[in-house]
Amino acid sequence: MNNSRSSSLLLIISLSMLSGCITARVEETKDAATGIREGDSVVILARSHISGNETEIKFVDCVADKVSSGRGGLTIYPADKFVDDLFPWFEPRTTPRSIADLPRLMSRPGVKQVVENNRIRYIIWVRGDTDQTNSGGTMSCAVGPGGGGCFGLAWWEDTAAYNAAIWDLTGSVQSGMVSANVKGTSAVPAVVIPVPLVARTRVAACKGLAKQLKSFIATEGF
Amino acid sequence: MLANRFLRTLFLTLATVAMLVTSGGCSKSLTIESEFPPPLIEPINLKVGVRYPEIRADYVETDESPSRAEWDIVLANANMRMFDTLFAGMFTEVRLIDHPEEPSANTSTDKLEPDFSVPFAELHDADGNAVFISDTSGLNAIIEPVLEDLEVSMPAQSGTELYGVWLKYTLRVYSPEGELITAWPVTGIGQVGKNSLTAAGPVRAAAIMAMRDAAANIVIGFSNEPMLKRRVLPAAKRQDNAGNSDE
Repeated sequence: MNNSRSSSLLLIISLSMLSGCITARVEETKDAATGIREGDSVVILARSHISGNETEIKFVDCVADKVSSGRGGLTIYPADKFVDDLFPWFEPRTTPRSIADLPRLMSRPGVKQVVENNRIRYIIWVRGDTDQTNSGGTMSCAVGPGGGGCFGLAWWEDTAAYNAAIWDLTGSVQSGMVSANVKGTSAVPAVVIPVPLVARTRVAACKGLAKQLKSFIATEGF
Repeated sequence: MLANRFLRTLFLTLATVAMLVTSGGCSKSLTIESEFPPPLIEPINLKVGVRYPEIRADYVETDESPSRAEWDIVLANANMRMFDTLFAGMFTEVRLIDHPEEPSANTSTDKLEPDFSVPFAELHDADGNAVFISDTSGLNAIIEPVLEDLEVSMPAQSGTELYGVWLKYTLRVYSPEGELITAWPVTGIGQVGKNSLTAAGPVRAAAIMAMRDAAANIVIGFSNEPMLKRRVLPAAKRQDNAGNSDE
């Protein structure tokens, strides 16, 4: 009896650790030569008119974490410190909208010195979102005196679409773009007990984008 | 049976608490505390006196949203800290002026009667060190930043996932003789997404963002404000030229 209960529990845990189906596409376009010297750093910022979006902050934090860790990890300059150091030039009202605004910003008093003193080589602007794009299925649950349970299948599809523009501060040029598009289908099949099979699309997009960014920046030249 | 009764009682209690929490009429107090960075700009060659007429004491703004939840947002310290840091970075010399005991309540006056006999007392320099001055002679202008309005927007009001704070300051700039040169309105807006179960965190973050936005507005707009351009900034040019000729 105990063995059978343990087996059921193990089965449930194993099933819950399964994830949904994910398809990912990561692409890059390089417009200028890249490369990074030891001691140089990059700053990763969210490209948004609305700061404080928790989803966005978490995603940018995730990308920064992954870019700085592992083999070939890059040095990250903290985004908050960067925005404070260069106040008020990276506030929502004043932040450079395109690469064409960068030379003017760099010519402002003190800006170049802050960038050079802290050896900040690149700004990476991350933009994007994760949305639920489709859903379906049915599931019904019931509770009675003898217990309860669910029956059916519910599923949904998430799309995580993020891109990162890389600005080289030494030449005030856009080095290129890296994008990650991840589609994931999650499902919850239920025969008495619902078992969620969740596709972690945002995490997959973060990992894909970060890995590509590391390679994009570290690869010398085109 | 006993368990059922217990569960029913628990459910009713929780439901009552939830209703009380979400029902209207409750007041929420929020004190904004934050450090503000100095602006990264070339300071304008002006000697400026700064006076905080009404925000010396705790300044409380109340917003009554349609959900009837009142927000008392206390900005006094954060306001002063922001303007201290901002002006210290914007001008070559800043003097903090103690205001007379009776603050200037007359907001529409064209002529402020500065009570220079009041001990100008304790001032602070850019590093926050106390500085004492005996008079205001030699100042090019006196600035009074006044918080005029504050509005809070909740997600239920805007139909979005955002908390918003909107601030309106008026920067009253006087000549050292007390003549009102301009009353320059400056606004700041901050919007923050839901990031916690309670509203206090996002509202606080949105308020700080709105203050930073207003500060950014002041930095980029000061040299373009028409009356300041005409009446105050020429002194900076003269002082620049005098400094150059001394060298």
